[in-house]
Amino acid sequence: MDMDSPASSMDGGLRRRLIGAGMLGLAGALLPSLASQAGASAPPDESTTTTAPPRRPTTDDAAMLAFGREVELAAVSLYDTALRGDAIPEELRPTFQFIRQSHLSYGQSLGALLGQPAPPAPLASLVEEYRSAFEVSDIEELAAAGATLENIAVATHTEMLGELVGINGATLIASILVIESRNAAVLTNIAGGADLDALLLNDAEPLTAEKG
Amino acid sequence: MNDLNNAELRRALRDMGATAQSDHRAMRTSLRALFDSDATADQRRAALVGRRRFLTIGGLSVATATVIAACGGTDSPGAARVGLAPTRTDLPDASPNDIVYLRTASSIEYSAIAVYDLVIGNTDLLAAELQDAAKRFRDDHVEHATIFEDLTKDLGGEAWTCGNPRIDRFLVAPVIGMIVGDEATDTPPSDDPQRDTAAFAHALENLAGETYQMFVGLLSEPALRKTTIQVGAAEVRHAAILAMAITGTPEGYVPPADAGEPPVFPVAYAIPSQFGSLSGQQLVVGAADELGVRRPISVDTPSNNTFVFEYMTPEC
Repeated sequence: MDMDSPASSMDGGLRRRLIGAGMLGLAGALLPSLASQAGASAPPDESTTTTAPPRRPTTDDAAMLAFGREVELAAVSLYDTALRGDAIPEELRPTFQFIRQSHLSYGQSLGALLGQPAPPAPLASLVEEYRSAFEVSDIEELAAAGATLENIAVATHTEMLGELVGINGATLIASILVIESRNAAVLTNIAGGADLDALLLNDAEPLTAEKG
Repeated sequence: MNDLNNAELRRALRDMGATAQSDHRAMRTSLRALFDSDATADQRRAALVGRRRFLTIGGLSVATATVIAACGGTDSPGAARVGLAPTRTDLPDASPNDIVYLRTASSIEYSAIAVYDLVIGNTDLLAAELQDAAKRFRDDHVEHATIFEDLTKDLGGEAWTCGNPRIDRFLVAPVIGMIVGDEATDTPPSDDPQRDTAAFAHALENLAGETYQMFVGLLSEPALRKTTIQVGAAEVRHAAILAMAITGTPEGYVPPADAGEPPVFPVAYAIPSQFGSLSGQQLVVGAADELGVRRPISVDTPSNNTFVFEYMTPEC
């Protein structure tokens, strides 16, 4: 390029203008930063805070979940009684063993959530009330007793969910409850219940720590 | 602290204003030199596209645009840009909350109702022995939808009285098309519509149960969780009854201890696991392709893209 051409003769001021443009860009880049510092020094708007539910069980939650654990372990005890008897035909033993094992898992999971050590403590009053119903030798009677027990567990856990505050306890109970509801339908079916109302409806009364 | 920062800010603005004025003068001089001088056309072209001047003018333009954007008022928020661009449209507020979960719940009920409405009374699609159960389940879903609508209104929200848009579009419509055939997508009808309809109903009931179980961990109030899981407990009983009908008993009660190789059609179990699962399920419906392959469809619990947010309006 001819440095003496009219166009190139403008170069004398170009460097200064380029530096000027650079400074302009730098100032532009700094402005938002300064503005954000000014904004950061403003007091926070305390009126927009929200409160999320706690994850861990509260003290009241822990008492309810411990009671739920006792109910689950009572169910284990009752199904153990049934599996020791002669009412369950061979083709249905896997179903009763599966349900029994599920209740044991529920008790263990609740114990783990609460940090409660062994030995487990079944709800004695529930075991006493239903032991004879689980000692029968007729599969339909046994299944009907099992369906009643599952419906009681569902009602108890549903009631509990209306009071549990901590998310961890609530989600665990929900994951237990939906399977116990399925258990009730299956056991009702084994008991000979073909009526949709019998399979679907649950009019069991929930247990409470006081009622035991 | 505020005063100090404001003072600094004012100084920076004043300095920048002075710099901008100086630069404006410099640019005007450059442009005049380029376009109003006695230079030849070749010289002007050289001045315009010459490397140094190109960089100078280009750098100046970018720097000026940056400052203009940074100094702009609040009428035009967002990143600086040079050139033409379409006006930005703000995204709607899409924060999931209790109202959103309840609207999603009622939407799932309406999607299920629509499917049952389609197959009730049609024994080509749903076996005669399942018709009574289907009618009962449909009525239950109507009742459940009302529960969720009332709860939505109690919280100050607008009740949702249509199917779930995403589930209807990406699950219900394609699956129904695979069962009855769809000329538009060149989908042949199923080789066993009754089998596939029962499997689809089972999948929808499981989906509803899993969704409400999931919502227990999302809803903020224990009372809402209780009502939602009450409905969920009813939905999984629907699923259990369908599983017993589909698979038979006692095979359909619980999964075997040694499951072995998974079959082409997933086996429906009344009690599929020890804990309620949120992992979704596989559904296989429709005719096999020319290679004899049947592709499974994932039926997953709703995520953000399936929630019925408050900005959404019903179109049914």
